[in-house]
Amino acid sequence: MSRLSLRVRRAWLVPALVAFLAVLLLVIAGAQAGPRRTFTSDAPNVSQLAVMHPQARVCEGGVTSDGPSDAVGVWGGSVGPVAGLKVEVQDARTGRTLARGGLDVGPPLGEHVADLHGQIPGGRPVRVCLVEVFGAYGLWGSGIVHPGFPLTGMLTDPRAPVPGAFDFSLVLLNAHRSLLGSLSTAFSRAALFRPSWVGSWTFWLLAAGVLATFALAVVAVTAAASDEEDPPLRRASRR
Amino acid sequence: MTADLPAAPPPSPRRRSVPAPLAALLVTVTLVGICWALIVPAWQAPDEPDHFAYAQSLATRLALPGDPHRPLGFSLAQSLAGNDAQANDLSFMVHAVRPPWSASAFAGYLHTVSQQHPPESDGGGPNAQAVNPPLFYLYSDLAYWATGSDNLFARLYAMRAWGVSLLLATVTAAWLLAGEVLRRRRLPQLVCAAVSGLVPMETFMATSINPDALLVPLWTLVLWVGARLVRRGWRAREAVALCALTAAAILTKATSYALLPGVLAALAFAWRRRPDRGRAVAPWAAAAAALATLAVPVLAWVQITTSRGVSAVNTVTAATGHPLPGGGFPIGGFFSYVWQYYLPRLPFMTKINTAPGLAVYYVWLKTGWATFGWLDVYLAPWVYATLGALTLLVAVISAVTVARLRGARLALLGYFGLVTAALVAGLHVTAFRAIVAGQGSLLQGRYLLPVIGLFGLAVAVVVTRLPPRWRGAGAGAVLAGLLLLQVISLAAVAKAYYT
Repeated sequence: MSRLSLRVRRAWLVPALVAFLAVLLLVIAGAQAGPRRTFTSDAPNVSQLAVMHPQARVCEGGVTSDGPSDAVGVWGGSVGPVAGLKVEVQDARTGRTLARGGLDVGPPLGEHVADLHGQIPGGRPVRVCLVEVFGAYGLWGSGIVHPGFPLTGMLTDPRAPVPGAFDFSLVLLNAHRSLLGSLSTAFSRAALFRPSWVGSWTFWLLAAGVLATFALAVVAVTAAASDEEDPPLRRASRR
Repeated sequence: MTADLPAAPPPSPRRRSVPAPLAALLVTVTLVGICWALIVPAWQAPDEPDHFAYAQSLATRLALPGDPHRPLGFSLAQSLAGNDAQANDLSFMVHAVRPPWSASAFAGYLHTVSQQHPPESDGGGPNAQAVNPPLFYLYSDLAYWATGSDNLFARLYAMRAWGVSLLLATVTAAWLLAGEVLRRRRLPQLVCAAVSGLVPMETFMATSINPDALLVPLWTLVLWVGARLVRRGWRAREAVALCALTAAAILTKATSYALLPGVLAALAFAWRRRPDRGRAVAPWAAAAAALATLAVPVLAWVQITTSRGVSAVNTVTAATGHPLPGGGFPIGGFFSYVWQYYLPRLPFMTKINTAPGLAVYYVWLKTGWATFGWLDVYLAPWVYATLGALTLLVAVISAVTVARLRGARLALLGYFGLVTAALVAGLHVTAFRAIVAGQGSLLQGRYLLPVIGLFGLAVAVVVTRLPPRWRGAGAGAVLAGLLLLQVISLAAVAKAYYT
């Protein structure tokens, strides 16, 4: 019997240990900083709006983020080996420059993120401007979805679309927020386009429930291990 | 035959109750399943818009989709919900701008549908999934009918949550399968059931609107009932049940025609071992009834599809849209393709596979374990490397164990092998025909999920190979590891869509 209890104890000890390590790992991973969206334009990256050549400048705004931001993401790719872009973020009301940044971009199409020197405050309308420094950059976006902040500026390409009729794809990011720190935002977003009874509380509850499943696993293994050692039929025959 | 079996134990309340380990596992899987059903954004599972439109066509019109006289594939209600959730912009776009998740946009959607009551029954037109049989969609429609709301997301998420019941069926069937093969030993049963219900890809698919959700429990039940027949010999009720389950699987997805060789072999093997061999008429009547249970619904469905002018099996068409010519299957090319799928390409072979490396890793393993959304939400590379190493370890240890099998268990092995081989061969033939037709490879790891019960069984066999004092610890490590993988996967989905 003492050997049995030892085995059963080992049976719950290992999953409990693994569960503890798993939770620890999750906390450490979740605490790592990474880029989190504070604003997304509705403009999907469905088509190339224009090729920006040196001196071309386009702006979009004013847009308002739901928290402080320190990076800007746009979609596109260089036409040629590399292109250089300068990013300026201005106060939409006063025109004062709040933050700047730049990035070198290669040919693969995708999201390109420029880290900014300076911070964009949340809740204040800003205008984001892209200036082509060298090379050529294919800028992606869609037909206008926000008449309130159309693409404006000069594209230097005579075949370029008419400013005001398009939006380029744009996100504002906070590059120093952890996943755990973003859970509240993530859950409130996840509660949208759901049944009416779903709220962010639903996801907090489910998150707690998922963590509790580690304890349930310990219960399941312990019960199975004791059955394995002392199956019901054997117990019945002993009686 | 009955003399070979142990005497039935005296009935006790304990036998009728759900075993405690299984009960704890079912609660666990329910919690995880509900998380998956709710966390994935609407329409962000493979082909979910088409599958939803199919189910909606059945629910609102009691008619199959694909009607050439109906212009709309999706109802206006679905189109409105799809546009507001930006589903079309996200599908198949790895680097897509994620939706803004604007509360005012959702409020606007709710206001619009409450004012306009967009019709839900004006779809039923062109639908890429119209060739599918209707069983899963009818099952899913129980949840559709149970929810009445202009908010289409209420119906969609109810249908997804209803899929948790299928996940529980898979877990229970895997528990029974392991109990049949490894005898009633709770630890390996628990491991087999946990693997079958907690591999993230299975949880994700079971709670998506997709026929694979029903396919997996049906296949697992077929594996279990077939194993009973092979191990215990002919029993009329089980033969009828096996045929009914096979028919149900075929009426869920055409992939299930791959069950036929294994199921017929299991029936034949059990028939040869029937207790009253050559004596009575009754077993012949039972056999005829079993085969009729299989043949009648399947032939009825084939008749329906023929009358609609479509094939009863998924067909590969050339890139031009025309079916492949009969001769479009170069045998040498096929063997080269299969070789390159599993092994490094030899110098004289033409490159066929489109995966960046070995397809067995990039397709079967990565998208079989954990790739979500429209195959655009991946985990970190080290996770796949770890899963690859563990899968290989399980394969090697279970293969060594299987190689030592003798006697009656070889028949079980033959049954499982035939089912698996037919599935894999069918998938490769279909994929190769698609490649020849210029469509690229169609394969995804989730297509192997129907035999997830056998993978669970392999992991359970590995646990039984541990020294007795370490088996509980081994089972515990498997369960905790699966739950850790679940949390990592859920976090990856949340991060991809909502941060």
